[in-house]
Amino acid sequence: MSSTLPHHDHDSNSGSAAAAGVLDAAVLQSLKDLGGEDDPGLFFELIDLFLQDAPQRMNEIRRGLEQGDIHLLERAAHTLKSSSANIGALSLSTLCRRMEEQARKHENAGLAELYDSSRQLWPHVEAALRAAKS
Amino acid sequence: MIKKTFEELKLTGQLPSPPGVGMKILKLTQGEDFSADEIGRTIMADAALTGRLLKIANSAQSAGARPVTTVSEATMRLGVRAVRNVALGLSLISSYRAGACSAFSYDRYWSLSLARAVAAQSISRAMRIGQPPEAYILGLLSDIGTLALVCVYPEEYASLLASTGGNRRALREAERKRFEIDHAEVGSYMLEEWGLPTAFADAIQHYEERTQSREETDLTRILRHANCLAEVCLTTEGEKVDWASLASGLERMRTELGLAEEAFNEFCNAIIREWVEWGATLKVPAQKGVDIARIALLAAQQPLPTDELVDASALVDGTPSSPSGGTSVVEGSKSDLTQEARVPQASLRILAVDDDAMSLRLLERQLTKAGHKVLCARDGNEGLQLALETNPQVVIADWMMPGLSGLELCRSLRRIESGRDIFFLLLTGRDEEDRVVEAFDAGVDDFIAKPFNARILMARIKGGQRVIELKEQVETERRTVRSQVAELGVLTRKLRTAALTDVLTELPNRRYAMKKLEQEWDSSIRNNRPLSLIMIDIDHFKKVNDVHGHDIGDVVLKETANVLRTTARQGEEPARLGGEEFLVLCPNTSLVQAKACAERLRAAIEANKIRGGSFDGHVTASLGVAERTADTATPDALIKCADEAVYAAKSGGRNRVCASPSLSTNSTHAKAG
Repeated sequence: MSSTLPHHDHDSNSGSAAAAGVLDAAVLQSLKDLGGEDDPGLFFELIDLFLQDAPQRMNEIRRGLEQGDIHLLERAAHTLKSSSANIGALSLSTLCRRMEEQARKHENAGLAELYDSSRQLWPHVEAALRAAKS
Repeated sequence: MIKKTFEELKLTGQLPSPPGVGMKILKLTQGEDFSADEIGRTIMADAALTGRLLKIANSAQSAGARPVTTVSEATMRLGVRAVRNVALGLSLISSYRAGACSAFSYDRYWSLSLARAVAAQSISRAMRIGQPPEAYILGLLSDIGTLALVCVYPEEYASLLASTGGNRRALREAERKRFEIDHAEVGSYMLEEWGLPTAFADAIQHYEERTQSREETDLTRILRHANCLAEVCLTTEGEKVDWASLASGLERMRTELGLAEEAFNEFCNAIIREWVEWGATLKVPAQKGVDIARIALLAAQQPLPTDELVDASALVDGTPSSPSGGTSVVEGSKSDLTQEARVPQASLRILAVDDDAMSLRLLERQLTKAGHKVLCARDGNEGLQLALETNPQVVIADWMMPGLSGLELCRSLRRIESGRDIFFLLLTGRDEEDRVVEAFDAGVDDFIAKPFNARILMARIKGGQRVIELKEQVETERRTVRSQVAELGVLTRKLRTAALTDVLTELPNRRYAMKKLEQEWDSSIRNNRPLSLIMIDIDHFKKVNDVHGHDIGDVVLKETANVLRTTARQGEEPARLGGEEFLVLCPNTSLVQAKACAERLRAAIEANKIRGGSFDGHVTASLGVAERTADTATPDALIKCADEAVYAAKSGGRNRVCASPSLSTNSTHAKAG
């Protein structure tokens, strides 16, 4: 299993210290700047949109795994890959990219482990985003 | 790596490029097989350009020759390639007379470039090196790289100009530091891009260098001299310029030209006069500056150390602020890429399509912030519907979407008239980049790999904006051209008909008959069908002319033509070959059938009463018939057979039909006339 895991610091038993690293500060800052003075709510809006959408994609990935629907998995991982990169959750994005790649090549071995890693990472991402909003 | 930097400049879409006509000419001549005609037609669509081109053609030829008055003459005189270059340069001047960089003197820029152009042309002619018109264009474009940098980075370039006081060498270094590429390199890449000779690019890259290399090419040498003279053109006596360097440059040129001092001064003055004249033509400021004969003197008197001198070819607008050793503090030099966003750009109607709500919202904000009007669609189908309803100029769509994918959306749009001109930007994943060929096949204009930052997105959109503007320009021009072509079509048809019709009888003429015979000949062989022809010669026609005059002769010809026209049946085509000779082509007709036809024609001619002037009666004709056989190898041979049959008919007593030799024995002898 460990061979398919990315070398990131957010292993399954990483604590809140690692949670700070799940979001890229520069990306967050650029999102805040993008809203500027005329659209200050943009930053919160983007986070909310992401928090609404991401769990659905995670669900689709899981369903894809359970039902052997590799296309569903590929598409969900693809979408989550870019949205998480946009919001600054780069580690999650990397995991999604690897799932998407494997799914496209129909390499099923290791997919479940990749999903597990992302599932374990998700609460940290979510917590960090909620923290960023406050 | 420098090339890569240049590619990035290109990406901004802000590099100068010749508009409209110039662009078309460039496109036309990028291949090897273009015709002088096409170029001529394109140029003539622009009256101003035509006028200037003629002026160049006239100035390029020796005194006393007949003046060139048409574009095609000019093309013949100068050569297609030279005309292309000239059109290119001229269309550039007219569209880059002013711009966003406040510190840059666009006037002075063109004034200097024009001086280099005129000087390079004269020097090329005097040294008998290269083609003078090509040297002209080389001079005109010699500093295009600077213009390019000014266009792409107007504000940053202003600060560079301020910090260097416009000193060319310092500027070049500062450019390299700031942009990782200097104006000479940008210029030479651009000329390569435009398909100009590599020798041009080479000359542009090296002519400004202080040290003259031994392997310097001829064009570089010409341009170096031209540049020296251009600096003289724009310098007045009171300025603190490096007179010594100007003087030594001129002295080198004089030696190479092998001219005595007085002759050389006259040569330079002629160039300066020409420059002033050109300035008036192109509305570029050009005023005679220092007297060429005074330069050596000024150089000798020069009391100043060179580092306090102003560069003669500085392009700073207004009076150059005297920079003390390049240490002057520059106002507003803090310029980073956020300034790019402030460069005004026209607002576009953009449709953004992405199934991910967050990404879509992000995209929308980035675009709105850049001043565009944005509509959003959550999937391909909604995107298509919105595109049809709102007719956007740009569509940005994600590739992977449920339902209609980005690619399918693009294909659908390309199939309809209004969707063809939309600039389509596809968002792809990094790992989809190798599949972009498929995307371009589907009609996508450009793509961006996700995740992207706002800067790249804006650069691509700027690129798209240029395409849109060009397309709109082309469309306007196309509409003009279309109406011209329609007129031309009518005219052409009239001309073609005229060219193939006999004026007097209005029957098809010999040219038409011969062409038609060849066609029918081939077709009869291909289809294994018979082909016959009837040759008709009016009897004693010379006598009619002699006795009754040519007017009556014409009446007889017209009358006979009418008889042929009305008597010939479907498929039998009469034509006038000339004089009193006619021909009727009979496709799918055997000799026997053709003879019957000939007899019908003979009888009709004889029966036709003609009245005109002193003539009252009828004429007769001798007819010869021939059919294509295995022995007749060519259409000409067939005509010869028919001719021989006519001869036989004449010698047999006229007013009769004879067939080609093989059957002549049993030819029907009609009643003798």
